[in-house]
Amino acid sequence: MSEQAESGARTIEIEFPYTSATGHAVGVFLTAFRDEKKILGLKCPQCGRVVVPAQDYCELCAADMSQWVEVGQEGTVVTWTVVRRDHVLYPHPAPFAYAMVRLDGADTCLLHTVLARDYDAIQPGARVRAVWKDERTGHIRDLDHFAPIEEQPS
Amino acid sequence: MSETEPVTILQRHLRLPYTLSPGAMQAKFMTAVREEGKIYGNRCTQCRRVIVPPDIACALCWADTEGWVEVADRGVVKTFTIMRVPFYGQQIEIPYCIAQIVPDGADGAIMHLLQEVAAEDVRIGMRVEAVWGAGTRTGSLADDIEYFRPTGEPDMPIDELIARGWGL
Repeated sequence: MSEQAESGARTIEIEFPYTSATGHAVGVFLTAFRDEKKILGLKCPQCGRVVVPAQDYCELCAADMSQWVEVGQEGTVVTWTVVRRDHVLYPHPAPFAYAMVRLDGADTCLLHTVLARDYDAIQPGARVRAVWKDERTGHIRDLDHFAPIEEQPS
Repeated sequence: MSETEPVTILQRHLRLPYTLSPGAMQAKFMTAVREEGKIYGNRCTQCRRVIVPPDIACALCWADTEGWVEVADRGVVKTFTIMRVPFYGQQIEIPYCIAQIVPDGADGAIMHLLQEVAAEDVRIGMRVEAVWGAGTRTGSLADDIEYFRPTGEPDMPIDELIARGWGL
């Protein structure tokens, strides 16, 4: 028997299938993803910030938020990290980038992914545009990724 | 807006894929299961119990172990539990019984599924035997033995079971 045969390394996969409630704000936010390919935020009545993704309370003021605002399909990369190794849990094959994207009209960043041809060319302030899936289920990944605007065919 | 219902539910499927090294002792045990289809234990240098699966130390004495002792693929039900609750990914029809089985020649127990017996008919002291799978062996008893089933032999009396220290 080889040493490798005796090592006996085993692969075990543990799965956690969760079903949870979205809550009100996230439910409305994801419904707009699915039905309209729109990105909605909520405007804080106290500090005036437009918060994306939507949440029921302003995390700075703790104020109730109920004023819905549609924000842009385009935005600005505030910060990012490039993933260069594959992992089963990642939403895209490597390479891809996780990025904080501040959408036009929003005051907060949406954490999502950017697919680009050249990851070394991503700069702070890079302009990106939402790319939607054709089949949408009411999930954050209905928005498949953001793509650099200059790389898209016009 | 479409006429579909609003989104109210999130489905998240988290997966944790592990690759584990079983360590030298467990690897030797698993290799013997895979290559020979046999179950081995080892012996505590202090209390002389035969520990199955083998371990580097006795869990009761904390003493070193020694030797390499073949035990049988049949034995006695030391204790058991009955699963009556359905859960995600369940492969076995409920109710079913999971038992700790002390192989003949051993003092330690292995845990496995009991079949060919109604769950409510399982008893402590019941004699059972392994039913090995027909497929390629992997070295894992959980995979290579499909289940244990009653042999029909007389039960081990509870007093004897307790006298052997299996009531622990």
